[in-house]
Amino acid sequence: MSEWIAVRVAEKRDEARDIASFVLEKADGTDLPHWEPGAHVDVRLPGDIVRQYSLCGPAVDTRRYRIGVLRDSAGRGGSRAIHDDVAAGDTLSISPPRNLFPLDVQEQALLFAGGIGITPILAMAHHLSAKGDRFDMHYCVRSADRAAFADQLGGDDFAGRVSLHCDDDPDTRLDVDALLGGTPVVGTHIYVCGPDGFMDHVLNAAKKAGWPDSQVHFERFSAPVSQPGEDGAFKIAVEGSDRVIEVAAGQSAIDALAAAGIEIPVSCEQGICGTCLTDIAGGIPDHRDMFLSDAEKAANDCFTPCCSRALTPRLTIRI
Amino acid sequence: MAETFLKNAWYCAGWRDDVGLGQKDLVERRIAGQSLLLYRTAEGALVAMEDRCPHRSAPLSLGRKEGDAVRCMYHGMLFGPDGICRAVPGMAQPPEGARVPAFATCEKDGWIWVWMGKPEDADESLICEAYSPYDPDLNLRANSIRIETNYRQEIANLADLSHISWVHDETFGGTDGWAFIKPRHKRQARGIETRYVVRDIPSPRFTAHMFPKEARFDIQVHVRLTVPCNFIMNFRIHEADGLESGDAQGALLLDTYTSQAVTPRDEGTLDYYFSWGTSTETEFPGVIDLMYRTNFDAFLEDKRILEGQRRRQLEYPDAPQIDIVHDAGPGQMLWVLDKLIAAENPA
Repeated sequence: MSEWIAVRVAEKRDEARDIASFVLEKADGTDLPHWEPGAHVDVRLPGDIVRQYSLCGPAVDTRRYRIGVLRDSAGRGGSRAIHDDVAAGDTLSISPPRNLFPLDVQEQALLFAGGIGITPILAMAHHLSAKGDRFDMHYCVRSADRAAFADQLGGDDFAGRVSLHCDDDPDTRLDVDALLGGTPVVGTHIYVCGPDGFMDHVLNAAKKAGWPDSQVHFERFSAPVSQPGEDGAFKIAVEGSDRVIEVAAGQSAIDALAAAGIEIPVSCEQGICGTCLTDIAGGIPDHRDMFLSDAEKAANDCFTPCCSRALTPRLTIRI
Repeated sequence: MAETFLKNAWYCAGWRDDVGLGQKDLVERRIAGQSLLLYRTAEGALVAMEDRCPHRSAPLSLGRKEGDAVRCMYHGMLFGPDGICRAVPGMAQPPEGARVPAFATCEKDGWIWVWMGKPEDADESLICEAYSPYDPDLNLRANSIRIETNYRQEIANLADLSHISWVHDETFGGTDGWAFIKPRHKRQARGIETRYVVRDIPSPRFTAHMFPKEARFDIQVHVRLTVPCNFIMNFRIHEADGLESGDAQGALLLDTYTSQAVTPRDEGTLDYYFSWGTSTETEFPGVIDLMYRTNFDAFLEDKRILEGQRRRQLEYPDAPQIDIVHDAGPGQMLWVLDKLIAAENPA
């Protein structure tokens, strides 16, 4: 496990009904690790509960991280703990940021946020806006009083780019079929984050309209993560390209890559020699080799595609 | 049987002084299963051609030089540097087809290189970058050795330096530190590039008598390996810095450079051309000679283990061989080699 970083809660703010944001600064006053939009951190909460929260501020600011938390009274207790028991001035432990939901390279981005799924989407919007890239954001909430970060979303940076859709106001309904229908646009990538029902709604519309998987990116709050040892299917993205390779259940990653024309040196094919060792830029591998030490495995920055698989739906490799 | 050798590659045919200007300087080389004649024309230009007269297969290396041409000393046929027969004594015209295949050559960094593919495909940008014995900033001494093994075993030897701890215990080694290095190799189109530091180890055996027993050193290693089997290494000995990662920070004691080219003669024999020495900046009296002798001793250590391995492999041709953690470098190099060979020989 990576080392924990001690942070101080510099600010706690109510952002909307049941949503609070927390500004975290390093307890020793130094800079926090660099991060990219889409990244999350593990936060260790009172009671030793560990939860993942996306970073939602501008990624250029490494003095502070901002996370947004929905108080979910029906949840497992993490969000209640942070809402009720954490105040400005408290110290917490967080992990270094990890990005399982990175921005791709695109001409235009369509951002879809549902409820608290706004947090990584907001970081993406800040980044795209700062770069001057074209993007449109659709933010779906149950009612207007649940729309968080209104001050940021209403700012000049995002003028004309953010559409708020409220379930209780039919005039603002999101017509995702109309948005994604027609021909998928080359160079446009879709990013979706929110509750499962919302995600399925958007992802199904994208699928129906024929958007290729490589242009559709999403992160679920509770990813359908594989259990170690399962031989399930997963995807491998190649950093710096828009290629996404499907690894079928029971197929080795190296075979799937080779079938897609991505040849990686391989020798023993059983995770002993390390010939096929490949850098990981995102996602968490299911290490099944004997080549890497436990510490090297825990770093999750490389894997042996001859035998190892993925714990996350997608791995991003660097070749 | 799959092809053994890569055709479209530069093979080292020796040091530049190996091929002289004298009349008798007709040098015979066997490279990747072919017999070659190398010589210099009167202008010093290098010529490489098949060492076989197309008449009755006499070696041209038993002939004599005449200007830019070579004469076969069996029946006197005269061949130009392009391999074309210029004259057959007693015949008005050489017969059709009287020509010897010629090969492209290049001299670089003190080495002679021969392209074993078609001369028109020779691409000088594929010659490995090496440290030259003629570089004024370096003091290197060159040598060569012949080893009776298949060159794939030599590639595996050079792509995994953990063997320094064991094979070279009496020379470069003297510590098991090399055996605990798990280098991350950077893949290149025709090989691998590797950097790492062997930390906090006693002096290599060959200099151990110069330092107190408790002295500790960090060895900074930078290796570039390319096909068929070229090994270019900068090996720096620093005072140990006590750090756990990053480049060696301690005082630089010796900055050494070695260029090694391994040329398969045929399936079971190879010629090995190598140099080793220091930067002129870190050289001190006697060190170059010590390194020269140590290097040769070390390569005799390699020869002993590699030739023993070859004998056993021939005795047990079908015996399975297991892999261990040190096989990543060999695995990657041999994979690149096999891939290039396969590309030349479409099924």
